[in-house]
Amino acid sequence: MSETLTELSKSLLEGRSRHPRLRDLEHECDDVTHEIYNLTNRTFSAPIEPEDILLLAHALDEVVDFAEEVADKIDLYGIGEITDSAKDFGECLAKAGIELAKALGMLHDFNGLDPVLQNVHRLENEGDQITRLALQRLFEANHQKPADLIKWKDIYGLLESTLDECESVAEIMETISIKNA
Amino acid sequence: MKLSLIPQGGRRFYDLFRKQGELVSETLAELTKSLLEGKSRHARLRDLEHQCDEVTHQIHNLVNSTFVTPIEQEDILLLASSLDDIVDLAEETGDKIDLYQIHLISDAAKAMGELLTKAGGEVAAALDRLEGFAELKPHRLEIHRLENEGDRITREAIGELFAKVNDAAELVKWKDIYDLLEATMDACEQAANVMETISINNA
Repeated sequence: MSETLTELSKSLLEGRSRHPRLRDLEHECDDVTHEIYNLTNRTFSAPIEPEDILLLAHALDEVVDFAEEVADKIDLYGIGEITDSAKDFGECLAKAGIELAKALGMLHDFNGLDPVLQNVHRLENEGDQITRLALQRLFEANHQKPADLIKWKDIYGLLESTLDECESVAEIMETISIKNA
Repeated sequence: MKLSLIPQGGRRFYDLFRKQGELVSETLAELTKSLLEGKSRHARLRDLEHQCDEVTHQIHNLVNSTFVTPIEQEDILLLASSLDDIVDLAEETGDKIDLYQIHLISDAAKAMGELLTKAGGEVAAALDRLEGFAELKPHRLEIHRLENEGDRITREAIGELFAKVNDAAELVKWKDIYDLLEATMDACEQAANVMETISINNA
């Protein structure tokens, strides 16, 4: 998941799509999610409640799916030049990915989890500010072609959804850690 | 020693949910006022959103520190976050009206606002009597009815938008506002569904 977000951020910064790589990662993530589902079915006494495991796996899968969709749309829409806002947002996503990967490494004993998850919430707020500014710029520029308006509105929406899903992952981990406290 | 079925900590959950219900209701009423008056009350909405965040946080902490909760822990967290979602979406709607510099509010948006105010009242009333779960049903049914009515309004509004408006920026802005108004109403329905699940689990 973290690798996917880093790849997406790189593709935004370089202004060229890494969509094939992202699609590969998405498929890899699907496989892992599937494996988790199977393992949950077969394991009699999982360390965390089965429904929480499935919820978490699903939310992580969503992050990767959204990230792949962003890159796909950049290709599909034939977007040549990436806006500064989208680049900033990509960096925010890459950071959130790193924090979540860190948090997932702490699931066995939940030690030090809280500050890491707080960072994800902070990054989500940062992302909101970036989108706000981006939309302001988008509509201020009166010379925008209608197609560009719709394309960028969609891409900013998808970027925001990707980060929102990161926050959902953090919330699910919080719930798990409360239950296992 | 007399043992109470609902310990002090338990009572506190119902108090916090009552508080959250009041915040939902006030937020939706503020949003509606700003739609009817055609001027944004976003500062007030943001203030209410922060207050709701604070209550949600208190509920999380209480779950953390309470050994026996009156409702299952995960149901408490789910309900708190579904109420928080309503307030977040209402705040975002207010924010977008500012951000998009929308001055003339459409009749459909005003009508949607009035439905949201009513839904907020129902959510608050349901949360006011959450303990015991006996009187939930009429509120839940009313919220579903309001949601259906809201769907009809946004559907017509979006149809009219694409039939009559030619300016791309106007189209994109209003499509977004209608979607947000609808999402806010959907969040009310979602909260009603969570309350329903809780009442089934506690029957």
